[in-house]
Amino acid sequence: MHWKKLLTTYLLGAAFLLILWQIIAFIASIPIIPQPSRVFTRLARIFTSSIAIHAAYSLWRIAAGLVLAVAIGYPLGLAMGYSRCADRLLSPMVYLTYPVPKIALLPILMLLAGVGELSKILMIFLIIVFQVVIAVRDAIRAIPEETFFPLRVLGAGFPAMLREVILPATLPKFLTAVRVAMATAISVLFFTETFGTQYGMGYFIMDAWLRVNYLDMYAGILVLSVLGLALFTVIDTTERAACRWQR
Amino acid sequence: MQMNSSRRQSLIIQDITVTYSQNEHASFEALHHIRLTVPKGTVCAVLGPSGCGKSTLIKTVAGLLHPASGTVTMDGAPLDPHRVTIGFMPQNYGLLPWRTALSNVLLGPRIRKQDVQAARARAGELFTQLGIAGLEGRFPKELSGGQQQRVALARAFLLAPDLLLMDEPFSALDAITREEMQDVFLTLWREAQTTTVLVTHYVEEALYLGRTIVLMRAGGTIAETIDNPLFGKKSAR
Ligand SMILES: Nc1ncnc2c1ncn2[C@@H]1O[C@H](COP(=O)(O)OP(=O)(O)O)[C@@H](O)[C@H]1O
Ligand SMILES: [Mg+2]
Repeated sequence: MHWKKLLTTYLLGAAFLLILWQIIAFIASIPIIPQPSRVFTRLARIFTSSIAIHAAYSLWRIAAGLVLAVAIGYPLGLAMGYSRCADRLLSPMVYLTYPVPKIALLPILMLLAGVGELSKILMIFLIIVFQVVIAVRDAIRAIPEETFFPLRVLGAGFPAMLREVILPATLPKFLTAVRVAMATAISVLFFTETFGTQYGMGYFIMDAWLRVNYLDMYAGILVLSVLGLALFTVIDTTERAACRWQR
Repeated sequence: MQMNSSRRQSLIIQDITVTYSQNEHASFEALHHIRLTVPKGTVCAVLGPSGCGKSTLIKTVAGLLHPASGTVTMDGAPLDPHRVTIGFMPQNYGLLPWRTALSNVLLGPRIRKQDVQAARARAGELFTQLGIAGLEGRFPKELSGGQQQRVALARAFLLAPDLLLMDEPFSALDAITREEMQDVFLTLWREAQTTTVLVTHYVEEALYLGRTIVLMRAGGTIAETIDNPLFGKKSAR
């Protein structure tokens, strides 16, 4: 029911953008703005043969960066939210490094980790991890102490507290943080993929541009947009399912 | 001999003093040498004005606060949540907002790693008995105050606790719902005969639900302990 409504709005939005694109292409009538139909034909022709591998590389880098960020950021945020001592120790470091635009660290990162896969994944990791740490810490602080009482009187240990209270209580803020960071992560990934690699959507789009192959370039932009949309939909759906209790 | 065994099985609060530390220099004494015995299978109503230390007392008995001095024992040994099953019902019902009503009721068996399937059947009975059948899948936010209270009662009684602690359980309800819930509580309690400490600031509630009534006064001391002949009698309200 809800699902169908969502799909309809997405489809309507896509249709509107396509019509707009068509109109602009028709009026402008220049090679840099090709007709949508031609782009889609090209996309269908080259997707499996060339774009798919680039999309897979980009997706892999995002997934690896995200998993790394969650694996390190969640426990760190947990420690900072749970123990005053850990917070006093870690807060200054987080606050000093958090406002630094992570993209500015890219040259250093590439010197340390090379221009290959690792520096690209670490870049995404850096962008997401701070958001996760701060969101989880604040979410844990916002849990009223009384929430733990019914568990404590039953002699619940830390694993039970984690499962029954901490994870569900932090999930909404955690997912919001990931969603917000994801937008930045995708743009930065695009940038980092323009050098040091032969794979990734960033590479594909810039390469098509240099080859003055506008149809390929548009096909790439289209795939990157759908990739972003898919990631957002996944996070959104998870949030909706997991945070039903909030509404 | 008889006397001795009944004494061993009651809840004994021995001379406890509880202080809250406000900062490094100042601390505040909320309970001052409290002494109290709750015989097994009775309800003890703790009555007193706001701020006299009722919540502090019940939290200390629950093991959520540690007294500066004195001990709380049951069956002759210190209260240990792994040995004694304690049901605790805080003022705000203490339901987990991210769990459905049924899932909240099954919290005890989950924590204690008991047979959740068997508990589910018993939970179903309790939901029916408490008049909340059909609300199992609702989240606390989707329930009225009275319904949340019933869910909390179902959770407490599903545990079949050795000791039940309730902090102003019916205070947030309107007068009519409150009287209804007091009856619901008494019905359940008569089946289980759980040793219970119930905190309230309503005199009528204490008279209706307390086998003994402990009168507290400001400053965290006990003014008087009364044997209540009106326990469970409707005329009390
Ligand atoms: N966490 C706390 N820190 C300091 N003082 C507290 C704290 N909790 C309660 N108190 C004080 O202890 C006294 C007793 O509080 P409480 O047990 O909540 O009273 P009651 O439940 O009878 O209304 C009050 O004066 C209150 O201000
Ligand atoms: Mg209170």
